Amino acid sequence: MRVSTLSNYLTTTHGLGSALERVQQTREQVASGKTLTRWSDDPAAASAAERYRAEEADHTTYQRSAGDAQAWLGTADGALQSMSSIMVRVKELAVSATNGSLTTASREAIAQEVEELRDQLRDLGNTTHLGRSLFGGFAPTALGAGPGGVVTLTGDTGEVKRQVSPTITVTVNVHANEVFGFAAGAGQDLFSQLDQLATAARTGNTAAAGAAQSTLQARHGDILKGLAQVGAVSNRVTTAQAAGSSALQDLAERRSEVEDVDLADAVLRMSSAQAGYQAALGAAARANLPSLAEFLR
Amino acid sequence: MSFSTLTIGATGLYAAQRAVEVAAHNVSNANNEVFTRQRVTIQSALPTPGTPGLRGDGDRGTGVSVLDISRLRDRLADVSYRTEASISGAADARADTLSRAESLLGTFGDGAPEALSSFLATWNQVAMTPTDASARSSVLAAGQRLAEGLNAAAQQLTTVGHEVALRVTDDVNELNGLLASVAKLNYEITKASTSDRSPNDLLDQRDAALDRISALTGALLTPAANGVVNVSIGGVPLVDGITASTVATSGTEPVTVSVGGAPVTFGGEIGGYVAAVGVDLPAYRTQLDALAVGLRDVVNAAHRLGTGLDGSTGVDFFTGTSAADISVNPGLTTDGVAASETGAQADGNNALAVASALRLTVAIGTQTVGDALRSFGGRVGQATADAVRNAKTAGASLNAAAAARSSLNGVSVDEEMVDLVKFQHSYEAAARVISVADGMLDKLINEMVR
Repeated sequence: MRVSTLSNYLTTTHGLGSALERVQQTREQVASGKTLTRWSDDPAAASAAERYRAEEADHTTYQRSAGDAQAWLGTADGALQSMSSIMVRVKELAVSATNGSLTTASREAIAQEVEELRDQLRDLGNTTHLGRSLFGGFAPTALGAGPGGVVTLTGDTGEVKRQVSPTITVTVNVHANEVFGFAAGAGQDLFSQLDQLATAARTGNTAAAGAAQSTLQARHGDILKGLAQVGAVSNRVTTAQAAGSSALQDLAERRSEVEDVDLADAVLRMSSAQAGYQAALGAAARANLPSLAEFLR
Repeated sequence: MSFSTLTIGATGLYAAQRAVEVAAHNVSNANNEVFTRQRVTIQSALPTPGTPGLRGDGDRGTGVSVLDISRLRDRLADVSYRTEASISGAADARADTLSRAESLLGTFGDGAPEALSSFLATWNQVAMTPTDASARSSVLAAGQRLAEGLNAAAQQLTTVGHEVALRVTDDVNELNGLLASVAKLNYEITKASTSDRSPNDLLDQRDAALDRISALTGALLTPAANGVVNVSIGGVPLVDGITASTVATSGTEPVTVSVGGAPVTFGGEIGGYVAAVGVDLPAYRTQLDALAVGLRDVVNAAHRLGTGLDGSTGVDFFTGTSAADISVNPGLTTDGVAASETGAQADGNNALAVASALRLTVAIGTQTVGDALRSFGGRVGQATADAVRNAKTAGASLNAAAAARSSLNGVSVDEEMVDLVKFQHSYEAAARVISVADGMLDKLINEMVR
């Protein structure tokens, strides 16, 4: 093949140009630590990386919701545990109240303790978490005071929901009407029964005290049911949290696999590209020097 | 003994001088990309007829004459170079256009898909703290950021379209100049060749103009009588003999190119730009608009079902009808964000419903908004990557064709050196012939008389 001065020059510059481009590309990867800096670098990998990133963001959101759900459930669990131990004492007092041989002073003491415990239960029923009523649904309080100090239901049955995984949305609250037996019918709720017990104790009405005792047993059952519900939801949230955090780790790894540079490999490729460029430079310097003109004197 | 030996020697001197001149011309143009190497064609001069009947007095040579100084141009190499130039011009134009439009969705890893993720996260936050004003206002802000991402993408498409239209205008202006100069050169060349001159350097100029015309348009070049080259595209003449047509362009989107008022489909760089701005960018815009409308409909449908802190219900979250004008409803206040399902202020369940509708609803074709956004990014990236790869391949072919052509047409300094040496020696030899003739005549005239 005939080689003209110009074709030699064109081939050389083209070779140098593409060698330099390779150096530039590998250097960019080493410097940024990313194989993907644009969608066009590898469109399929870029789409995958973006999908992983979006899923990571969602899982982070779910983890935050799950943390909040656990805080709700933990506070509710504590309140319900306290209520349950109060109920144990209430039931003891109810048994005492059915004893017809008590003195007036003892009966009064029982009545006063029952009223004291009723107030404690009411306060527990209005426990809040970050300003929100735990047992009141969407209402600001679960329990209010009616005329004559009667405890009334102010809460509703609004369900506070948290999405804790792509597929699981849990209800994190239990409702005052169930926990305190308002749902069982008028006068059957915990606080009416406690009032009845106090009155029965004060007046020595053992039959009424006996009736209250058996209803209070059922009300304690309601509180325990609430505890069981909170526990079960908490377990689901814990499972979702564990799955979510392993998914997060997995997604981060997979994203790094598509998106991040294998540094050892990238550095190796960069030095090989640089060596290639130097060789091309050397070849160009040698190949372009001589012509016959050098040798004619 | 006659004086003709002196004359023969003189023709040798003359021919060698011309050859050295041409070699010098070649060497000085060794790095001129447009230049075609030239050669002196020499032949023996017309012999003098001998005396009839006289033996040993046949036709006698009268030396050498310079027939022509010709251009060593390979037509086939030109054709293949110009084909590649047209392909490469079109591929470069498309790659250039698509690369400009590549960052439609913002920086990779921090663009519109990420804005969608944070929009979703703010809805989940509002679901947790529905009465918190800062959570509510961040929903509005994140929604606005997402909408602005789409606005920016639509704006970028318009900007790229505008830039490309300007570029086509520049190219068309350049083309009109080239067409006029080809017509003018056709005239000069016809004049020169009819008067039997070799207009080598004019031919080189015209070839350079034709190269650029090919790269710009992929036009058909047809050689005609008297050294004329006609240029036409799709049967429409651009240069016909010594008259050139004027090409016009719309200068704005939609970009069109026309000759004498009739639209013409160009190849090459101009055709590449027109196709990219007429086919690729509108396709992007359609997809972006579908994305914007899908996002708007999904979010609005879920948002309308909820109630805001101010009791408002049935309110749209997004307004607008395309990617260019989608925006968070300007009438929507922080309190108007419909997080509540039941109307209770502490209820955040509709916020959850909005988030999961946005995550799960198939809104655009068979895809959710997020999937559609990511696959749009992937498609744009794929189109750009393909266009850039094509341009690279076409560029390599063009380089190869250029190198092949210049290896045929270009000057080799070594060859010219050899020619210089060769003709230097011819010159010396011819000079020696003259001095020998001189010696002989000297002998005859000066020494024999004595």
